[in-house]
Amino acid sequence: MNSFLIIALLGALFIGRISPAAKPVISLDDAHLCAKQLVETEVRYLPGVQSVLETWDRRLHYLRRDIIQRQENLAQLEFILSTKNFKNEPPEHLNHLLANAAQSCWDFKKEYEQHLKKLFLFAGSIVLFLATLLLYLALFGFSSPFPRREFYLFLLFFACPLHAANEITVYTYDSLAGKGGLGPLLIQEFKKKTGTDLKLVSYGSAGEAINQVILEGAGTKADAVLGVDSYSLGKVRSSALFAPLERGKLLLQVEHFLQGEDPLLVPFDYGFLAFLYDSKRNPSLAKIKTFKEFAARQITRKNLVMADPRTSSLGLGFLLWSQVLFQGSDLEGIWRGIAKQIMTLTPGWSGSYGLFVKEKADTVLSYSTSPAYHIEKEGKHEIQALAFEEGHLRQVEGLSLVKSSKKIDRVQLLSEILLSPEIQRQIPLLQYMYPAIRDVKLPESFRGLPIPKAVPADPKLVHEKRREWLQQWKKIFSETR
Amino acid sequence: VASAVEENFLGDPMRRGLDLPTFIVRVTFLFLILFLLLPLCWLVVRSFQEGGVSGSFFRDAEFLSALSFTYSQAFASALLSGIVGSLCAWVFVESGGVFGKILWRVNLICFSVPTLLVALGIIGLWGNYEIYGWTGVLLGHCLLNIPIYFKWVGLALNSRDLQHERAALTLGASRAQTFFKVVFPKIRPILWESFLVTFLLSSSSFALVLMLGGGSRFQTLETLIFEATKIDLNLQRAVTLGSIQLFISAFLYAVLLWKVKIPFSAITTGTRENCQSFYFRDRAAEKLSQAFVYGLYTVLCVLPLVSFVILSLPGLKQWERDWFLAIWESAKLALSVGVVSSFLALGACYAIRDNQSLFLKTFIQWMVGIPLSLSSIILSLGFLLTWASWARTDWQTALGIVVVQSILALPLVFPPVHDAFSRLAGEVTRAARSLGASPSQVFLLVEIPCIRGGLITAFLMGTAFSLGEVGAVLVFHSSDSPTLSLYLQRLLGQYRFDEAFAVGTVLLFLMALLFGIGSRWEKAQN
Repeated sequence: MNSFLIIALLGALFIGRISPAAKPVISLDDAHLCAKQLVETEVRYLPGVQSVLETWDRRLHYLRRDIIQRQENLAQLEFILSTKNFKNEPPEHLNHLLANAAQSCWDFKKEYEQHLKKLFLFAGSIVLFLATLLLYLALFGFSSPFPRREFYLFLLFFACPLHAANEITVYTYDSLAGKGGLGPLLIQEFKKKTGTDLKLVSYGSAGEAINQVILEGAGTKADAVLGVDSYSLGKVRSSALFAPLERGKLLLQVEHFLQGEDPLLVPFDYGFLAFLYDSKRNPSLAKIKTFKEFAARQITRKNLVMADPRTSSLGLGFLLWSQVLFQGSDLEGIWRGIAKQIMTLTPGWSGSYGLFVKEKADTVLSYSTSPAYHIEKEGKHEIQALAFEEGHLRQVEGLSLVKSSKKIDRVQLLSEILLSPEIQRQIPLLQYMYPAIRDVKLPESFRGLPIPKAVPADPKLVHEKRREWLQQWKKIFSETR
Repeated sequence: VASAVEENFLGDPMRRGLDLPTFIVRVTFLFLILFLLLPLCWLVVRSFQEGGVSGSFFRDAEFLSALSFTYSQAFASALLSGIVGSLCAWVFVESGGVFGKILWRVNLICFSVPTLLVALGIIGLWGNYEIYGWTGVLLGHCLLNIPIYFKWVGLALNSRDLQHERAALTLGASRAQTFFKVVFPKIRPILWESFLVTFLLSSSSFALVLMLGGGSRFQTLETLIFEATKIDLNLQRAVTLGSIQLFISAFLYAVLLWKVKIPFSAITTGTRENCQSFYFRDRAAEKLSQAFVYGLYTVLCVLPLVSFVILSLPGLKQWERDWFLAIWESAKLALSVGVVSSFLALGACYAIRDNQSLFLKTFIQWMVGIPLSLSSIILSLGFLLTWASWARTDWQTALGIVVVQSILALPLVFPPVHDAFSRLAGEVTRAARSLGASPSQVFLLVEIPCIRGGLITAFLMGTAFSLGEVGAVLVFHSSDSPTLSLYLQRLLGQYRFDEAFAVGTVLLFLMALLFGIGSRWEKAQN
């Protein structure tokens, strides 16, 4: 029985290899041929293959579901092919359907191969295990003090299956991917609408995620990076590893000030940088109306925490914000004033915000919408953002496609899902930022928040001047110990 | 026993051909050359390329400031920890006490705690004060270093022969004279070793400086490397900084080798014996010393961890499936690291025992010890860039993590295996050979059962190390299923502090459990 299955698997693999479906060519004949061959392959081999695989990996459940879905697609395709007679090129929507079918066949084949590899690995492990066992018994018999049971358990432990994947891989940052963030909802919606898994790989910040793509180069596993902020676009552009998505229709629905964003970015939310304080602990801070007053305030001890401009885009945003407001006037004085107040800089936003919430610091650099979190989750209205008359810097977050991705159509679908009203409605309560599309009803907690005046800033400036600003900032900061 | 050990270290002249031990030694050599020496050589060569080591680089104010802070804080940390840790060890050995015994056991936890948890514990306890900068870094390093002194110096003091001191006192020497003329020379090598090891560890510490250094006010070479690697993507600068750090560490390690013949040999030796102390004038002085020294140890090393555990209590209720997944992922990696690193330690011990060449022995010792002062980021970077084209899929990157962590764990897993080897009498091996056993049979049936205790301790140490290590995981990971330490980082990044602290406590508990089992096992073997 087992040898029959192995032969069947090898046959399936061989047919999969020679199948035209292996190349995702969008042609009517190819798609038809591919459909026929794969249906035949399934009919012949799948029952046997499944009966084996089912016994050792629950994840095959997804494969089976994909197969059923694909069969439905192919049935639909065959129905269209049998009822229509195209003289020339088929219409666009059919072309799209054929492309999906071909892509789906190709993915199926890849996954099929991966499962085969797993099966062979498993068989190899068993053979290795048996060979070791036989060798051991032949050499030493049963009387040796060697811990046999632990040794076998150990071998079995390493024989456990490896993870297979049929999905798109998106790099992002921790708070977006984690529980209570946008990530889980996006994964669910993406699966529902496309039938494909969305794999989010998270890093400390979006900047780190971009750097990871750059480090991995053209061979990166990422199909896209989610959460790219407007200040990192210079790096994204200069890496030449990213490509624009089709944004024509998408941009029609977003806020007009987001339509001019870089083509490499599909914006999905935005927010304003702001200093936050607890009005119960520090009521006097409510009197501060300008950035200048804030920088010049007298303090008895260092009490401001913020993300480090070296490691965080929020910190870098602070440098851009102050540059835009005070370039040519007293920028150094402003930085010196702020630096004197800083208790510590943390690698990312969450570290500094955690110190602020745990009452280790009195003020923190965050977003003007952050107080909504405390209203929603804790019913606290004391956390407030300082609104400066000079204006606040707007930070935009978006999705960027990795050029080397082989699943561009799915990343495109992801961008459409991201800007769909269902997801955008959830942005304020998941990301605590403003949604990118117009006419989204904001939750109650957002109503009382001041909407700051946006200062015009060129994110490209960050890329050009980043090193210079950081040097200046580090010098001033280390002088104010 | 000493002559047996001496004889044993001369090697087995009857061994011929490619037997199992020779195979293990060769694999170990190959492994270390491919995955440690090659990436390091690559880094050094690359650092001399354009934009690397040059006159202007050494005039860079930021580099000079980081260099001076790195080694000045390492010196201060090692010295301060040395004073407190040695005092603790002295009082514990001389007067003991119930509280002392508790601290001796707690010491095991402090010994194994990951730096990230140390930083969080210190912020939790003293975060309201302006500790960021020198104070924070010193506090953090003291927590990590004092237990090393406490354990090593304590073991050395404990295993000393009291007859000389009694003789000196009988002949009219004062207590101070006896201490400085008799006791101090005996423990001087272990003090040297502890100082250099803690100095090297503090000079390559990263997470602590990043979190407690107060941002760019205080930077070390390690944080500059991190900045160059992960933020600026300036790999040339990163490898240059890494090479400079490597040269300094190699020099200091050479000093350690010169001062101590086989490094780390005292880490796990020695047994506690109760004996009447003659160094305290009266009972009151003894109690006062205990209160002062144990109080200092508690404030510096125990309270931050206790505050961390207390902070984690609300989060422990939020136990969820992801924790199990993280533990499972960690367990897979950690067990693999345990196996690979103990295999390497075994190979290194065989190579040291069987090689006649002093150069090769020194070379192996250098290879085993140098990861102690090596940045995990730099090693991972070197590995990634040397073997980049190979590591593509999830299991390959997992293998990368295993390789790097196994190398980094070597200084920790080598001592127990080495100790076990030291206790293995050469006559047994020779007897087995003369009775007709093949080298492989001697290896499997005589040597392995004899050193099994040391191997299992090494395995547990390697496993515990891997559980807490995060640098290599951060460089390599590309999976949505993180390890426990990475999961902790992600929770911190997701602003889920309660859960992060709770995961930290689980991690702490697992590491302490493994170290505890390892230590008990070893004690039983001794």
